Amino acid sequence: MYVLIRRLGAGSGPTRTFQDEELAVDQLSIGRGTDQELLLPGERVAYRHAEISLSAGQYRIRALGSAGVTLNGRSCKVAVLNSGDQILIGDYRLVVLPTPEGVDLALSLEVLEQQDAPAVDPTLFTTRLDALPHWRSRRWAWLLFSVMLLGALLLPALVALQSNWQSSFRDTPLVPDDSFWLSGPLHSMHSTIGKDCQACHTSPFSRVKNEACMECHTDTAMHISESHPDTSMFEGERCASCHHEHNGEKRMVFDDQRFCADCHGELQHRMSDTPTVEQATDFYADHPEFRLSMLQWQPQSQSWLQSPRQTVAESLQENSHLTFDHAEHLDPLGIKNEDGDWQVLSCNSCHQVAAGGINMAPIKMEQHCGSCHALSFDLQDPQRVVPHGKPDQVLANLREYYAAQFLRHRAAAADARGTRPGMRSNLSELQREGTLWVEKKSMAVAEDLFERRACATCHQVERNLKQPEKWLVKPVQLNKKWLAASQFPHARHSQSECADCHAAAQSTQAEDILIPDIAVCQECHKGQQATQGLRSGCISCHSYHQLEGAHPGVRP
Amino acid sequence: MHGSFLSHRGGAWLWVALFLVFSSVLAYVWHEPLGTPNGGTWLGYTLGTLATLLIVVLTLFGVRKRAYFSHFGSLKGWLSAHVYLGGSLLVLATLHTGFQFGLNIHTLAWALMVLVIVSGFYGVWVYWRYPARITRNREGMTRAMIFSEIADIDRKASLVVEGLGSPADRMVITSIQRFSIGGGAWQQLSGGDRSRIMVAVNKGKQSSWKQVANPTQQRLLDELTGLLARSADPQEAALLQELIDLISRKAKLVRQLLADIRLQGLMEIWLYCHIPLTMALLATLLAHIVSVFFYW
Repeated sequence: MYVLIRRLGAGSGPTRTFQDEELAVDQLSIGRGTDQELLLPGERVAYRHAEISLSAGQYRIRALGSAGVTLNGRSCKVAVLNSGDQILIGDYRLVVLPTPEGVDLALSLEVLEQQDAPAVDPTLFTTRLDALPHWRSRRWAWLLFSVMLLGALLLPALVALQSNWQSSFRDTPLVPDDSFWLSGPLHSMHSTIGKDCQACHTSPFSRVKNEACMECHTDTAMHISESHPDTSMFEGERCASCHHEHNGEKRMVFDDQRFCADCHGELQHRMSDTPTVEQATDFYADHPEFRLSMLQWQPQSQSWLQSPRQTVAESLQENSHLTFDHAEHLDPLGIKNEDGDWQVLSCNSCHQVAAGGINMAPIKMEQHCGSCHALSFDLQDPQRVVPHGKPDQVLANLREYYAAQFLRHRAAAADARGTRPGMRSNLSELQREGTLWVEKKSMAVAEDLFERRACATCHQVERNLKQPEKWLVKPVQLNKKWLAASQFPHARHSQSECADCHAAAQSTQAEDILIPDIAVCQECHKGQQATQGLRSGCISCHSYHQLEGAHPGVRP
Repeated sequence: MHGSFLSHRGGAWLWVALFLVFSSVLAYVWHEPLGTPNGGTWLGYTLGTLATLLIVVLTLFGVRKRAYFSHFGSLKGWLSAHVYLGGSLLVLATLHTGFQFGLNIHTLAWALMVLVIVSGFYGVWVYWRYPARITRNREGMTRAMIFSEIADIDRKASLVVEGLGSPADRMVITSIQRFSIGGGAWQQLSGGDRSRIMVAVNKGKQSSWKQVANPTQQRLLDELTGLLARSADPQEAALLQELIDLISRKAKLVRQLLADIRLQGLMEIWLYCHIPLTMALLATLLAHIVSVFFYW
């Protein structure tokens, strides 16, 4: 089809200028795209805005974009064009002209002037964030940076270094206190330190020193003696190597056995001479047999000495100078007591846990043995006993007793006969008789007591050959600390029977060792990493700060 | 040739980041420190140093972005690394803490870092999804074009309304005069329209004018539709119908404009968190490092 486009120029009415252009097209495409037949520049015109086509003898306009076209003042999508119709597209007005000769369609085209009518002015509205006042991210960035740097670093650093400022800052409300710098909560035991960080952190940029800990913990025992040849092993180790503060309540003392195992797994490499303790890294998997600390009688110094710890062997014997038969005392049928009755004893008839629940209370003769083993010597007077533990006084007691007996019976009878006046008194006669009788009787009873009946039942007794009236009872000392390097809390094992660990019912001699070996403990106590059984780390039994008793051999 | 920064060089930085994440997680799982896991073990110091270096490198992106003549890696490569390494930082720094958190400067530094990274992730998401949404919403126009289209409709409407007289003329003119979109950040981001209009209210025989809200020209449309329903004059009805057509189109344009402002705002807002928080993080990180060694 042939389309005439009349572009209207300046002027008005009949004198208005125009320029004609003829297009030969299949259909007239209108838009701002350069491929459009009728090109209308301007933002408000779409690239392909509309097209006019001939169909069934009628010219139709069809809007292609969302903006649509306005035909005679009405928005429309599709419309049939008639002569005189006005089409508005963007700022352009097309008018359908009466069709002249030689063309199929004639359109006039003019650019509309901007009317002076009220319209929305986009410059009045703020439609971008960066157009907002104060919305400058760099400004906020530097502000926050400065605030944090000043408030969180420079000012606190200044206060930390100026000790006279600290109290006034700590008293100021709203200012974050020292806890704002804690990497974690203090252990409550250290709450007495309060907010004084410098109590432990004595100098900036250096680690907490042991001296800071020792200032309060003065009595803490060392692990090894200062005179130990290998104190260099501990160089660089700090209290804080094991005690990690700022971890709250539970983690101040770690039960992790690796704290011990990292040294005790390779002591032979760390120490210059042979280690006094064997390798141990895990109670169940890697722990030496128990070694017992024994008491030894030193005849020269007349004292007991705790011997170096010895491995349990068949030949190892306790030498307490006591004679005792556990099996006989624990006979399930009973044992004859003082009154001649049969009495069944159990372990706790004699052995009780001491206050504190760790050790067993000591065995006392008067309390535990005396009720059966009374030190009586006269059948006529069974209440009368000699004192225990004082052999020298035994004979004196007997002499006093029999002298009194002599006076009461023999001398009183002689008195009754009377003395004739002028006659010599028979007192010296009586005296001589009494002295002889008392001495003879006392010695006989003493010999019986010491060597046959009372003392010898339990004790090793020797008679002094040069002084026959003296007997020597060997001193008795029961071992209180078998496992010197560890603690065994008896009370916490009250669920078990004594016999589960101590084979007392089979022991007939006081020399027998009744401390169980490690396998007995390992029946229940497994290693720390064990999945079954009681998980037991090193500090279940041992303590690090245990210089007392742990290494008697290396004490200064 | 356009390609997403996410797939820069086949996502090479993604693999670097994944390597960092997996190796640090493996190390954390394998590492059994004496005591509890925290920033003070050898792994804690290693992770802390790595995380600090990462933060410095990530922050340098802001410098590289402005160094227009720099040839030190392409900017797209830098952005790719920034995004992926930033993601891995979240894992590295969290493992560095050993999951020990509290009300203190150290956790504050961690929290600021998390906020920065999360805002960055949001940025990645909006830069990935929103440009397409914005283009789709604009339907090929620019924001200025939508505005001038609205202004054109306003001019046409003011011409049409001349033939109608009161009350339509006053309503149309006041709806143009009291058109109001955008404004503060909340207005922009919520897509609020605070446009208002004067409408006639009849109280008995007296009629007065009252200003009411006119969001997306809905009130004007309602009033015009009411007038059309009551109109007995066909010519007046034709003019009213034309006016309703114009205002309907304006309403559509206003909705597009509001959505455009909202989407554009949402696409930019994260930077107002990301950048200031990054600087706050740098200062707090410095305070964290200094204070940790001050009280070693």
